[in-house]
Amino acid sequence: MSIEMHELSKTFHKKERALTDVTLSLRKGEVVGLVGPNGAGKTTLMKIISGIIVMYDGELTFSGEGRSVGSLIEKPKFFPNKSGRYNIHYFRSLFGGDDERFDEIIQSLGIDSYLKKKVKDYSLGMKQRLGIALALISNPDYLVLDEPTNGMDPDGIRNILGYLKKLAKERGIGILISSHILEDIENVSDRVYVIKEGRLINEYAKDQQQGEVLEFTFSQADLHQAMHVLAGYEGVTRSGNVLSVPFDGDMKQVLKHLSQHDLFPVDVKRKKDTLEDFYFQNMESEAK
Amino acid sequence: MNVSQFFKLEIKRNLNLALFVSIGFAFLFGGGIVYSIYQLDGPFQPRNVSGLYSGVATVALGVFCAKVVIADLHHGTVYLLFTSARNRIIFLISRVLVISVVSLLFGLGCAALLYVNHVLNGQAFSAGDVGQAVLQYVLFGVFFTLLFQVTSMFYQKVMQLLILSLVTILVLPGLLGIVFQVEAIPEFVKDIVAYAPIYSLPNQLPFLMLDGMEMVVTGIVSLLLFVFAYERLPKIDY
Repeated sequence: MSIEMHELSKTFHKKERALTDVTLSLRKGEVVGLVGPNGAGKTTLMKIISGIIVMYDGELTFSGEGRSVGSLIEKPKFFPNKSGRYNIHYFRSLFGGDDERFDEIIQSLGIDSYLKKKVKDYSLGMKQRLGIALALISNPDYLVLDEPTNGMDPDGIRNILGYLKKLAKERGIGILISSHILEDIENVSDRVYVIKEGRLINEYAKDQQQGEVLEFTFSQADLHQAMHVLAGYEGVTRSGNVLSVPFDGDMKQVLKHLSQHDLFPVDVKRKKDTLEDFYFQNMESEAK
Repeated sequence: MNVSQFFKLEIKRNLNLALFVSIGFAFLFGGGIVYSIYQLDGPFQPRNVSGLYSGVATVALGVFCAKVVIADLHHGTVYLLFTSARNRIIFLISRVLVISVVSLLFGLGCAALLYVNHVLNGQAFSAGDVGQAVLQYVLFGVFFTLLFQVTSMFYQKVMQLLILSLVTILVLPGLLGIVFQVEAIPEFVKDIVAYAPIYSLPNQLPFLMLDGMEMVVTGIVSLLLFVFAYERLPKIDY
């Protein structure tokens, strides 16, 4: 039970290439992250999945039962001069959904106390919560959320992400979520796709053992020579005065190698690869 | 998407204070003529009454025609509604139904004013006038709504669409009328312009003088616009 996208491409106005041969999948019950710089094609991809963009090349297929998609794309969309309650009533009347479950959604998202206010008076964070509620209104099989935590306070972000995880695990909803806050995406997602300039450039799977790196900080005077010495190691990257070397379990050997060349790092850290490392490594290697 | 619910909700959303104030204002405006006949023995006919009523009514109805089409573009709620081809077709049909009801109310307002004129001034009024008023206002509303709907499928900038819709109703008929002043223009071109709904509706509706041929042409063009929108709307990116 999944959405399969095969070689999706989208061109706007016959020349602006927004997506090129994107192949990915979203299974029910998993949370999949989508990260990339502004203009990478994340929103376009999400609009295709939710049926807003209909003219594209490639294939999008639903396998198994359940094909409904709830979405929150770009800014949340409502009737601003109406109350939250009216907006919910309006879209619920159209798309259905059971009462008890919806009350639970409202409470879980923490918007029950705001529903009487006009939506135009909501803060961005409140609008995002209402937007998520509306995306869930039809009891969808899949949920597509474009930067849903924008404008939320840290507590709100933690609650929402926790709730999304719960929805995926307990109700089997497949969730595709994008954000520029990589830590949030790493926390909530089972897998993460990295997209750049309309192309899918890599996939980060959280359950796979991520590599560890040694981060050596050198003085400016030693940096050039250290780069030369460490060039023999595979996968060395540089960020400012910090050189990162993939860790193979033997730190002493690297330190010994450096000391043979009279190189003594100012600082050494052993660090597990995070999504952020993965993201920037991919962005840098794409830029080369 | 639940079709009957959508229609009900949209009717509720559009039958609002602004609509009734617009009809009331048009009524008062046209009522000025009724009053002048009644109190000052003004040299006016029923067509002058409906003409002044339409001065406000056509502009207001034009705004409603544009509004039912572009409101969801403006609020971005098309993102929630246009998620499948079926939903888009339901949206299109509901727009035609909603504007028909709105137009019907404008038509009834016009007929009511003519009736008041009949009661106070003894001028001609018949059930046929009610039918004509309702029919012609509904044709006006449906035609322009479909025209704006088709326009919005190619051009989605909301404010410009609103301005364009007002220009279409208020300015374009006058510009097209120049065709009749230029002798060199062939007669068949003049006939086409004369029967084009974009020209005939704003010019004839004020006096409720759309003839049978003009109504038929308006109906056919509206049908073509509907078929075009029906075919194209599910194939457009939003």
